[in-house]
Amino acid sequence: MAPPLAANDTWSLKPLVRPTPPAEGNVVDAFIRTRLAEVGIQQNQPADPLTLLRRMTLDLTGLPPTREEIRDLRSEVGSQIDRLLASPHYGERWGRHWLDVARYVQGTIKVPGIAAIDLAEPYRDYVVRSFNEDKPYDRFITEQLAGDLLEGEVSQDRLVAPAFLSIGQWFEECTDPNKLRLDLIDEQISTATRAFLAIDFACARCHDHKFDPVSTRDYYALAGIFRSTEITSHFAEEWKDGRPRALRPLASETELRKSESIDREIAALREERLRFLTKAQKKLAPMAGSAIPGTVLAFEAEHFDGHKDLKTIPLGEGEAVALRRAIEPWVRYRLVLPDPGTYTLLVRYAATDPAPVQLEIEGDVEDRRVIGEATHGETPAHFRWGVVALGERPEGRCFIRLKAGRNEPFPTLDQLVLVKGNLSPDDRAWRERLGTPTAEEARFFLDEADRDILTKLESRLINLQKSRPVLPLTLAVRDGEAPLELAVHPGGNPYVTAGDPVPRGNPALGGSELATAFPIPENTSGRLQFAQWLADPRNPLTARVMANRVWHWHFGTGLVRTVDDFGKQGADPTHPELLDWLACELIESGWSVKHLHRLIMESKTYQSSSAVNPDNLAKDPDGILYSRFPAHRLEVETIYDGMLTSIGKVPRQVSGMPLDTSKSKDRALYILTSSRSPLGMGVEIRKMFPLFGFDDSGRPMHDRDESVTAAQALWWLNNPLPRYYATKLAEKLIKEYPDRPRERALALHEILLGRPPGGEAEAAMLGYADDLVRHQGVGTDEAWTRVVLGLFSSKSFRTLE
Amino acid sequence: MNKTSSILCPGRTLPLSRRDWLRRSFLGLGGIAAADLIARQALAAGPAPSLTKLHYRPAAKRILYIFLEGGLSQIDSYDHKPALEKFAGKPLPDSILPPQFTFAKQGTVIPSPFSWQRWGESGTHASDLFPEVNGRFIDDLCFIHSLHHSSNDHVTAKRVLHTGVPIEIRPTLGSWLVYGLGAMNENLPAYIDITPTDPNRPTGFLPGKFRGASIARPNQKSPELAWENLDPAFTKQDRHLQFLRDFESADGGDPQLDEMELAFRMQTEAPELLDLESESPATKKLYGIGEDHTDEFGRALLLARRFAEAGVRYLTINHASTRYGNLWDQHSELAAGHRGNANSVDRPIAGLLHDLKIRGLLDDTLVICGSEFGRTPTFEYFDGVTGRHQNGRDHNPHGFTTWFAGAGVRAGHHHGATDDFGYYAVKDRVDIHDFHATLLHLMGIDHEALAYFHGGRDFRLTDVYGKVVREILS
Repeated sequence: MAPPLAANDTWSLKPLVRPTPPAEGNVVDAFIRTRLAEVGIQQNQPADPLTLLRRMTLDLTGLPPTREEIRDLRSEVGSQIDRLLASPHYGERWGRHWLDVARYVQGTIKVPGIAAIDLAEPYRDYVVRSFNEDKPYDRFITEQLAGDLLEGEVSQDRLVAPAFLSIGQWFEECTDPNKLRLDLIDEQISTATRAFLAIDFACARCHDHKFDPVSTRDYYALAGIFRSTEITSHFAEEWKDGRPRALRPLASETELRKSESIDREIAALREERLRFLTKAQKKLAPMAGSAIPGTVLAFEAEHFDGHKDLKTIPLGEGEAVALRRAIEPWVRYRLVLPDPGTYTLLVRYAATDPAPVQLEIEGDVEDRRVIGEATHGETPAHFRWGVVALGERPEGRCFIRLKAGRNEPFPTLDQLVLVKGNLSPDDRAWRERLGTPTAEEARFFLDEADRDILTKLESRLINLQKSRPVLPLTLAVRDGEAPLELAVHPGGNPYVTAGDPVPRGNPALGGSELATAFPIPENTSGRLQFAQWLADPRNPLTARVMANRVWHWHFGTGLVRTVDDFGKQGADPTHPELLDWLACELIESGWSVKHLHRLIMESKTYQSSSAVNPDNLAKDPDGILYSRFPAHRLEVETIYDGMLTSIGKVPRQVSGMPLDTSKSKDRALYILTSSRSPLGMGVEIRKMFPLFGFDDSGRPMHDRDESVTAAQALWWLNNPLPRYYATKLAEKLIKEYPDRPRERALALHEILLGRPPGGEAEAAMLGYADDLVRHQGVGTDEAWTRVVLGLFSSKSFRTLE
Repeated sequence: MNKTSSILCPGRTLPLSRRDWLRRSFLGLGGIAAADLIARQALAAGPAPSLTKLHYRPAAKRILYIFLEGGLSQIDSYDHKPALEKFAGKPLPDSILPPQFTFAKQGTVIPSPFSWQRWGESGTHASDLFPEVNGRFIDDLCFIHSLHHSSNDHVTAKRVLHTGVPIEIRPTLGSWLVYGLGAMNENLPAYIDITPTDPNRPTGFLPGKFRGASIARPNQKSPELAWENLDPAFTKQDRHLQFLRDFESADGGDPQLDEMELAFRMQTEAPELLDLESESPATKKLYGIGEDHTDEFGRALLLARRFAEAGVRYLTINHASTRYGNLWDQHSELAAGHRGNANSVDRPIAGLLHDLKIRGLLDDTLVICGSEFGRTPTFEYFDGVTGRHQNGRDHNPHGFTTWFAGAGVRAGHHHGATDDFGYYAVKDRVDIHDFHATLLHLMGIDHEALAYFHGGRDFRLTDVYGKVVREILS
């Protein structure tokens, strides 16, 4: 195998040196225009003020300008940029860009393993907040990789940010835990190296990188760092147990200590109560058990006919069925009833906390809460019998399902007995026949004095539980107990290693001096040192990669077209000096992303018209020389928000104020990953996103797919979602302008496209509506709904131009 | 090795120009040499092919993949194993090691509950699960008995079958074919999934336009299959399209609305295609339409034939239940479950083969029928009063059977074999990359030369593996 290429072969690995601008004036323009002059073309004239207003507003906030903003357009471009950068909506838009890179998805999206990411929202909000605050990018990197390891006061940001490592796509159905462990590490390495370095180290998991200077040793030096990091709460060898993401309370150390001390008190009281009950129980003469009259069937709980998220655990001599993971677990039994009649199911169970379950018979919900009163523990002594009335049933097969609520506990089940007839839960006669009473049931037999003691114990417990603060949870990343180092696994095979373990450390591709600049202390994972290496101004990639991303998100193309590949196989920069100058500006401004926005947006390059000039087309067919602003398809979030906002559903928040997410909650950023189903069309919304280039599979999106497809066209024509918004908007406009169709058309055009229509466009809109009403027998509402639908599907609506 | 030079891969010559690529797709085949094989095959306005010429003369123009979701038991259908009788009730001999991983505890061997006989002139040993297919077409079928992979659960196994890899989301065979070959009918998508369990099968790194269009029953009550968001009730379409054109050009935009126009053409063409009423009663009867057990799948297959005829390149027809998912997953009640499932597909499949044959379509259409894996020779350990009976089989990805019929395959041929118990593929083993390489070959494509540049390297359907199973080629 050929040795890895030397670092100095790759442009992106050469040290960053501040270039001298080739001309006076705006530096971005100087670089761009020099290049244009070389090929002999003129940059376009500036876009007209309304087009520019729409471009900047959508670009920075993801929302179109309001009609007031359109009418009041007087201010200078510079102050508009300031206003938009200070808008709380800025973070929602640019935070979403970063969330693409960080492969943020969660919630109801059906990818195996992904469903388990229940607590990624704090990370999402952290990203939005960080962009709004213009958090220095070096700090942003460090918090996401090692926030938990930073010195100083613990902040919410520091606790939440490392979820970046934890929100990846996991495979709960992977059958080999050893492979899975390495897969998880690989996912973290691949995501982080592509995000910050635009070089995917994952290739070097199996072999030295074929094209870029990344060796397997580099990879396994990093892998050791992530192997020494814990993102799972436990790592069961039994695949069915899943690998739940580790969680921690989102609270300061003081709050944590307070809550832990209450927990200890509660545990002690529970112990005391158990001792007391057990003592009381011993006073009772054992009651001889015999079969219950009318028993039809008695069986162990583990003989189920299907289950979800439950497992069989040992209990005393036998086995019981217990909770595996807390997302709507259920267990199903198939009973065969010998003849029609009334039946009761007795269930022996235990539950530390109340765990009522829902009873379903043959798929119908019969009772929302059966059994599941707390038995205050799950040792054999805690089990008790619960009564489930099945009611009148016909003979034959009968499917019974016991199901917990979402994220609710499930009782541990031991035995079930099916009896004919109706049993009352309070009937001592049958209880006694079921054998020795449990500790809990012994309460029935206590004398007055003992019962008093017990009641006092219980009230103390209840008070304690009330005083325990409810701490919100967040995904947790922490260092493992002892750092581990990994040897190279040739071919990525978890069962084969070559050579000694590779010491944890930073990659060599930024130069050997930098690689050794941050030695990893013995007792830590090394995440902090990896973050410091990434965020060091000497790292040749970090600033270049981010400057390029910012450019890419503004223009739809990067100065390096392959935004996630700065390696040998990636594209060369079209304007290498401009890129380096922006990267230097990023660093020297104290890693301010908003500074880059200003530099870029204040240029004539950004402000130029997107019109395609036939003379320039041959020399700059793709607009990558920036003779024009390259028009590009908006992301699906912006398209969705555009419809939403057209009927006033997104109240604009004032620049300079903190974001109020409760006002924004219907925006695409939030709605996709919440379980909210606005208009009862949650399903349609979730289907819309992948249709317009949103990859919901949980992998990073470095460059959204802008494909235009017939399926999208059909969606615009017939899907109930755009039709709903079109109907609402048409109704609103007809109400506002009942007899003035021209003003109606003007308002519609301004709301959706940010400018008044030209004469021909106005004629097309009025002509279409008129034609439908007069000649086609269509009502005014429907006619205008179709006009709106037409504008929704127009190129101008879905394009940043 | 480096055959990529023979193709024009849009990602190969960086910087990749997305707009360039889109524009090329608008141009369709107009810009591509008319003398090549693809151009003779088709004139399309859908996605343009990335291949400028085919590598081989294609035996097949289209593929219909009948997918029996859940796991058809090979040893109860087409892989005859007398040892199962002999060892009934006994554990597997030591020579057959249990795999590293099984879903449930492995029980003892259970014999096939179906009766076996020799069928047709080829004398193929098969059970009576599919009496109509076997009785009429056994000599047309070509079998691979030695398919294998290592994914033991449905989700990843299906991904392996469709994309070649278990975990990562990669493009499906269908997406690769459309990417390589483009569309044949300008009014229809080139790749359609009929009644998929996963209606939004992602395209991985390939752009979304290579996604399969999905057709499903809009609700449980409707027997008709429908296209999502396709509503022929949108009246005065021409006028709407005219408005869109007027508006775009007035707005200074590009009046060319290819995708919108394709959508309108689909609205015009698809309802006719989806409407099975134009088929004769005899044809409907052939597919078992109108009969309780076979109506649903019969409709799906008849529709598949109509799409195939109309120029769709790749169709999957999934036999799955939206309510229960993996229909063929008989962990218990193997006899009743497999029998019931087979009863719903046997007549429709035989009908399809017959119909394709008399229309001459079988000459250039490849029909495939199989599952994501097979099943174990042993029963799956579950007992107890209310538990399962010891009469079902566990998942087995280590050796299973898939059959082929039609274009380019050797009728009546059997390739590869499993051990005496049908557990592991032992002779002429065929992995999924070989399977995919062979399918691409039949469509005229060298699997090593169909590549897409992504994330710093070329990706192929067959990764760095795969060899064409030449023995099954006619």
